[in-house]
Amino acid sequence: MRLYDECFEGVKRILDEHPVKKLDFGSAPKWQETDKNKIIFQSDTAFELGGNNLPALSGVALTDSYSLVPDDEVLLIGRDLTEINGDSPFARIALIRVKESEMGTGEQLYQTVRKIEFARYHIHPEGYMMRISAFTHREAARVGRDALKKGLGFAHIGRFFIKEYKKQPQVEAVKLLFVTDESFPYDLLEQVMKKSESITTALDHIMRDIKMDCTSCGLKAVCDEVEALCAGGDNP
Amino acid sequence: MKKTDPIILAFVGKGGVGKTSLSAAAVRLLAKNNPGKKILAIDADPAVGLATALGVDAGLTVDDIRKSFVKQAEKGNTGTALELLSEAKYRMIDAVTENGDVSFLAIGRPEGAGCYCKVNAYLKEIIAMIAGNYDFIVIDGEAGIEQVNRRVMEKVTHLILVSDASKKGLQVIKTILSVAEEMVMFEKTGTVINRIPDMALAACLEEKGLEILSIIPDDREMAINDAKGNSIYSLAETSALIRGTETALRKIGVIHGE
Repeated sequence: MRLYDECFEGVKRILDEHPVKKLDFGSAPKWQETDKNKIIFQSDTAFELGGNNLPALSGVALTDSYSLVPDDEVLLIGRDLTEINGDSPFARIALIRVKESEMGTGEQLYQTVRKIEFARYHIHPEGYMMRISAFTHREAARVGRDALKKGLGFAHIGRFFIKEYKKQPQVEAVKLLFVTDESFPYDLLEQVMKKSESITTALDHIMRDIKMDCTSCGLKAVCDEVEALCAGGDNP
Repeated sequence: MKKTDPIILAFVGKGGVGKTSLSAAAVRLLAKNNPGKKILAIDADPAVGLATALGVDAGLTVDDIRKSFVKQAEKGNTGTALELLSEAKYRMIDAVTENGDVSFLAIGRPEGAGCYCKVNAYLKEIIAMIAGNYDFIVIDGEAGIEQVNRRVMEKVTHLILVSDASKKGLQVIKTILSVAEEMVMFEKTGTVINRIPDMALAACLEEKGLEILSIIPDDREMAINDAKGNSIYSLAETSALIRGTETALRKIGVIHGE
């Protein structure tokens, strides 16, 4: 599973230049889940991560390498939720180690990757309302005042994500990164994660054997790369 | 504590009978009588008059969202059901204008070129989703019969038929009622006769077999308020429109007490 290795390297390069806090998500008190349709109204919102058109990035990259994702971790660059005063830039990146032998091939592989990515649609912590736009590639989140008073932090949110990702039997470990630092290079991270999304899309193109004029397709370079990796003996 | 289902009121009838003013008055009265309760005003009339009546700046409409979905679909970006639902919720929340406990949502100009039933189904689903976050929903319906609108009205609990004293107006609400009895799961219904030029006509209206909630005289004060472009909140509590709406809401059972 080398497909996303370049993304891992890109994320690592960016992280190496910023102080990363490791959050103790295991000992954070249990947090309530809420109804999936519950809205946090503006009047009940303390702030919005990615609000006011600030960066609101998210992404997933997969590997089978133990050294890249040895264990479950929740990492934070910037302030935790209880320390934030107003709308903040935001990124959430999930680096996931999977069992390569159970990922499947072809359409099954693509569907497995998507299932892992779609975990985010099933997470509804009380006081944390995600606003996900697949069309604009944004993942913002409103954070409720009451939840902050009760001490909601990224450790709680991280635990929800890890639990949800691990519902997929192929997922072995999850390194989850939250970023709220205002000086963070969100644009660089966005470029790296766009590559990750392109790889998944290219996987779909190739596996479905879509008949089209490849010379005019924006995904050609990525498809070539994915095909080369597939042909090279490594399962993608 | 589990939240109870919202009370959903819809004002329907012929064009020009005052549905928008009555809807706005209902929003004002429900807010006054239920402090702390969340109210959603939905403008289902393409003319988007409810925004002005409530003093709200209408931004994105549900139909704008539908059109943006159609554009994405035309680009080949259809998305999965999960992605589309999440996308619709994302944008719907942007489309809701909040002002304290009262929120506003405009449906906009419906349909147009290219009917995307799948998209409409998602939007209907999303309206149903956000509805659960409110205690009261007030819908200002489109004029006429077309919009005992399945997209937004099938879950109406209180259907308020609005007419003036004209034969045509009364005929329209009778037709709406017969259609609604098949398509809308309402619990209660009743009629408001608005803008009646002479209260002496009231007696003969009551003999027409309609469940009359309120008969409201032509309200000069309201007409002046409208002409000035003022919102419903500028109107005196003693105005005929506010008092008549209150009578109707009490009679249909959504306002209680003093």
